[in-house]
Amino acid sequence: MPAKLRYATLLGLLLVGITGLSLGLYELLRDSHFDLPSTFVTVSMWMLFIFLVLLILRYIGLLWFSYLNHLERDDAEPTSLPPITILVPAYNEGAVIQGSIRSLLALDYPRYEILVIDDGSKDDTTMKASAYAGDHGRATVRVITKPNGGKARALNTGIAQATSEFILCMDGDSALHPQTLRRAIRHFQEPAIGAVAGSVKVVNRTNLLSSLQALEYIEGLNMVRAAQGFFRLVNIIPGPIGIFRKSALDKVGGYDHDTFAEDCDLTLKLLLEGWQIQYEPGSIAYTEAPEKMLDLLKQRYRWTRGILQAISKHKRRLIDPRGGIGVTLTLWYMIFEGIMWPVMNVFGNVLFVFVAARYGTALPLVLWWAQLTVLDLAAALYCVVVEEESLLLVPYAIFYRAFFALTIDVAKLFATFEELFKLRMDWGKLERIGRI
Amino acid sequence: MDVVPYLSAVILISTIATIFLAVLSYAAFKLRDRRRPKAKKGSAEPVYFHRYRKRSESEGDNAEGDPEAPA
Repeated sequence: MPAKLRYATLLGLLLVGITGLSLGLYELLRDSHFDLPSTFVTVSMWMLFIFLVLLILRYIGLLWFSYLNHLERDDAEPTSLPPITILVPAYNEGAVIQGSIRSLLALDYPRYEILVIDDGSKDDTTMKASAYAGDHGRATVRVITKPNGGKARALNTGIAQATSEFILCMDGDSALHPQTLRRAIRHFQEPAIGAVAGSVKVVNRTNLLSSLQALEYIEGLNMVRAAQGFFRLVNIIPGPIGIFRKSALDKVGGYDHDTFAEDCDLTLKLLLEGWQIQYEPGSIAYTEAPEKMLDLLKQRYRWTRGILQAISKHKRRLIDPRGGIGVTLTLWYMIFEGIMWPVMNVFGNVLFVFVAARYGTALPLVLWWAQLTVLDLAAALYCVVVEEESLLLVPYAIFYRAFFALTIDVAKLFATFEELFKLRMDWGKLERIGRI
Repeated sequence: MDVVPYLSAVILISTIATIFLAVLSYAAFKLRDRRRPKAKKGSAEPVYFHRYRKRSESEGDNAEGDPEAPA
């Protein structure tokens, strides 16, 4: 059976499954003759029910549009392979920088340049990177050192120094799949495409926490990008892998350093400037995910506040669709994902725990969890098959909702309050494990 | 066998534990972040350890200079 037909069959079964199980859960709630005990609980339950319907539509929509985007994929070789400059900003990446460069030297592409920008590291990053400086046949490695000024400034330095019209920005702790450049460059045959977001995958699946993140990257991040890619409206080009047209970067002034999510901010600037952004699942960056809870919270804290800062920076576009209705809708979608979802999830869980304690039934909590887990399982199964990932990741979807997502949403909620009250924050560099 | 009561108990306990641990973890993260030594101002001196230049480039070519570095 051809792959596209196989995926269509799988998608059809999953959509029927989601609908059937959702209706089944709703019937279970009706049959339980659960009496809504107070006005507050009644209103809250209805609010959560409406939110749940929105979530079901979100999952079905994402599955459907990511499938349509997959159908549009053209696996033919690009007609030309122009030179590409790869920017590797590095700050105290001594543990992983050589692994990153080695993976870059193994890329399957005829002509490219690797530009390591050492952002004033205090460890041996420069020394380790410089060991690879020079010509390597198809690739040239250059190392630049600059005073510490943050990732955005480091990338801007690299963009200014890049000799190619196409630039790949990555993290110093990431490694790339050999086909990354070939897969990404073909999208630029369309002149309207200003950037291509790659797929990020977790390389260190060593414990429950990092395995859950491996699933989250595929189901929660890549599936969304694949669906957004159908509309050429990807809203966050991930830091570990984004490929840009240099003229597009020049036009929007490169990276700004007034937010803690410079990748999200740059993506929004490109969209507002009228550039289209596509997703390429074959351009893969392997990255280290935090293996400890506190490190994970540190990362998500920065992501949450950074994304909120980026939305706030472009908030005028929420009510002014002149930059394109697609961008306005994208911003509203980001508010839904970044604020509304965590708030409703935490609120829902706390309310249902209260209902269980006060009225002696945990059925609403079980149905809430079951509905979300059905959606996660369906999305996980689809994404794992389409991205040719390990099927062993799918069962993690059961723990994902009950433990992982709630913990992250609590942290997001606190981070949102801190951002609202403009509490001070800094970058919070993560410790690298060095598995790449 | 009706599994709903058992499932209810498991989900309820795990949800309460997760909410509790999530709040505790966040407090621990903030505490650790606060206790982390802050970098002193001016301590991050630029380290121009090595700057690679292609052999073919002329000595006077300053194309690889850092545009944001102080003059």
